[in-house]
Amino acid sequence: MGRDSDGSIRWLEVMGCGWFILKYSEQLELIRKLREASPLVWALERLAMLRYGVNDLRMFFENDMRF
Amino acid sequence: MKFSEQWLREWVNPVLSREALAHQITMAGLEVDDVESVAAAFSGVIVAEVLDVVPHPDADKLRVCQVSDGQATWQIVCGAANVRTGLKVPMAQIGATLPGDFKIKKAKLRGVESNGMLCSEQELGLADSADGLFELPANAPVGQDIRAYLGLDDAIIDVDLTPNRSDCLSVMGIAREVAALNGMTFKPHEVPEVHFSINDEFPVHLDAPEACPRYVGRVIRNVDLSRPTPLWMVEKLRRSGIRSIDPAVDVTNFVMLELGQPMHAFDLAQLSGAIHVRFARAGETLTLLDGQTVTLDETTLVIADQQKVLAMAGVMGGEFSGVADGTRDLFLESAFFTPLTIVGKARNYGLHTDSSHRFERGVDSGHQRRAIERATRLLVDIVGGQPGPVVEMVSKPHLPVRDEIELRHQRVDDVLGIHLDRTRIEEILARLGVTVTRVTKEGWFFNVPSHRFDLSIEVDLIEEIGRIYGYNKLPVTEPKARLAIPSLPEDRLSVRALKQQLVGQGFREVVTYSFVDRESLRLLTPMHSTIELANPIASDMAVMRTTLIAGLIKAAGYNQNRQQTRLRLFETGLAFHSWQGEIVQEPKLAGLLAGGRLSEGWLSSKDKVDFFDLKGQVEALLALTGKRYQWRKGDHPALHPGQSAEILLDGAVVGIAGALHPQIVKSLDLNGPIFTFELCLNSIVKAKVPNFRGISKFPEIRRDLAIIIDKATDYADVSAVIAESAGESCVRHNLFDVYLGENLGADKKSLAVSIVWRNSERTLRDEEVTEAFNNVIKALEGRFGASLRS
Repeated sequence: MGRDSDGSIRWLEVMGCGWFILKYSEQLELIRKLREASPLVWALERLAMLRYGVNDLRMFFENDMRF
Repeated sequence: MKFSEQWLREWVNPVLSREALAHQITMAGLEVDDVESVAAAFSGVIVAEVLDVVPHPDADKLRVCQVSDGQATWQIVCGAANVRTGLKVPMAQIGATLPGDFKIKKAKLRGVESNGMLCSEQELGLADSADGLFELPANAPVGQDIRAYLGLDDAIIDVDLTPNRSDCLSVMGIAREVAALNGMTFKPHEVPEVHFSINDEFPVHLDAPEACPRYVGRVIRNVDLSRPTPLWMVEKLRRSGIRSIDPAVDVTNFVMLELGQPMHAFDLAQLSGAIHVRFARAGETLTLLDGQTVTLDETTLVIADQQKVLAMAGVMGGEFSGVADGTRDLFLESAFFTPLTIVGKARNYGLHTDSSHRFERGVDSGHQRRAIERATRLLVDIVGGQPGPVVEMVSKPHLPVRDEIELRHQRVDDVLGIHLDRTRIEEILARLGVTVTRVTKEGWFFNVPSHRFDLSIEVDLIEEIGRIYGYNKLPVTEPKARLAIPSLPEDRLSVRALKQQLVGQGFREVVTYSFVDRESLRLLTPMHSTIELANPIASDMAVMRTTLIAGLIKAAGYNQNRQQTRLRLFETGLAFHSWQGEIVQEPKLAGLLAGGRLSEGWLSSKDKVDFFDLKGQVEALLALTGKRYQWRKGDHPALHPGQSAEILLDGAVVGIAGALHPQIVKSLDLNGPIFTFELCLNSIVKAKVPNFRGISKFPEIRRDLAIIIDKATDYADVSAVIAESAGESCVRHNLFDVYLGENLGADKKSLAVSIVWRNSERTLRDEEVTEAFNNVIKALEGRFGASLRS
């Protein structure tokens, strides 16, 4: 969450999360054990972009020495 | 989904400011992308009537108009081509302010006085461009403020809906949600049945009931489509981003926006026999409303009559069966097509319509009759005509059935982390139209309404409870976990320590894809069989890497192409290959050096890196382990045959290092030389636990030795012989010079080695050292035919 130049609140999604659907997960023993958990997808790059002002996610994976 | 705030407030009007309302909608999971004023800020503009128009005496393009504001008549000079007597237009009075802080003053244009300005839509900030004056309907009340007349103190709210919330693709849907959020009762507007005044029906056959289980149609005769769509409807459509076309299309679009039911109006005169809702036959063609002709396939559901295809069901109507200028009789369609039938169809034909957008996400299957009644009412009011009876064809077994969902009270508490009373849960769900069917010992069974395609399991209901209760109100709870202290055995290094060491040595970590191109693996590791991807995202990412070097040289090429030549890269990760049908995956650490040995500077040489830089870097890294590694000549196919080494730990090969083979450098279009190494991570994390030994108080004795030996002999072998022949008191030996020269012979080299002896209990005698030294010389003579250099 941040504020725009006019002071209004803006949102940016930095993490996604969800719920395993039981009818699929029950087929998989591994996931069945996890089914009480809600998976979080936490992309560090997003937070790093905000923290350091990086404007393009792809730069983290281009391996450009100037980055 | 864009809609006008006022329109929403006609349905449900909570006591909330515009900003608070938008915030509330966002917080409920329907993200508001934008809130935009309908018109730019302006004031002092009223509805006026042009009473008289005469040409300007001194200008061809200007006209002098007499304009009434209802009380007085004003003279205004106007340049618009469409100004004419009797026209109702917006007039900016003296003292008015137009968008851009433009003040209207009394003025003289070429000698003629002008007391105000007649405005276009562009000048009022209602449109990006305009051809002439904004022509208002003939019944516009002269003298009324234009902002009030057009309802311009309104905002367009743009909600970015997630695909699961198709129920909110209408003003009614958003209103239902807003009502639930504010604890208000939601009552859909009454849609009274329109009584039929003629008995005309047009037969409908559901030939594919699994794809279209409900089709509602109605004939309306003798409509007058030349009548204009009322301004209020045009404005509502415009604020939802839809252009007004003709009253029939406008009404179908309006009902879609209001109730969420896409509709279509056919020209009855173009239909023959009966409507058949069926799948297309291969090769059938249809010319769509947008003019393009498509060839249909058998998975596409169509609306056809007895002779031809009329429309692509749920996507777009056909050009020839649509409403046109001369249309007198209409056939209205309001149908339910199942999402699976429509999903992807529009895209297959390169189309995306408001209709397909809704049908593929799910339209309320119980809503078709209501929509057609609403459309009929609006049409009859606007364009007249006589409606026939509603024809509804239903295939009940094919309508979506919704199972009851069980909800356990304890699960609500567990998942949300708060305790809610039974009545509170029931009340929240009831607001969303989710009704209790049975109460059990542990909780309830609920029925979900037909518009909520997204509710199917217990957590869906819990999500709704959390959403309406307010995610913001859920308490912040620190996660609790029992943590075990991890064991960090002293004889293991962490990968992090190795990485830090390399960073300290001036390397940079890269992250490359595990998917690489087949060609570079064929060059780098011809001995491994690769693992192909079943469904690669690109042809150069078709196989799993067998070596991390593949990614490193790609990164090196990328940088060399961007003038970054001094490279020190490393990467850790898994390499994969297939062995006897099994997938082998191994963690590796690989590095690459290229370019200058030192970064450019006044004090540094411009020399490029060589094999010994590579060896030094790898040795410095491995020194962290405290273990003794051996280097020996290697023959890895990716490496230069003369500059290739294997690295051994306790007799086993744990890595390779060397210069990249010049042919590979050439065929991958790189700038050589490039030096690279790859180590088995699992082996090099083994560390030596230090073992204390006392420091000797006695002096050490050094003897230097220079031998001439075959050039092909490795120093590693020489060193081993020295170590075993120099006796127990020898503490170390060191190669301090290598000499090659004509005087030795072309196949000989000279090695100079220092050997140091020391005893921890006493001072060594000279004779003892001499004896040990002679033993070394003898052993070297015997083993390698070495001779002392004189």
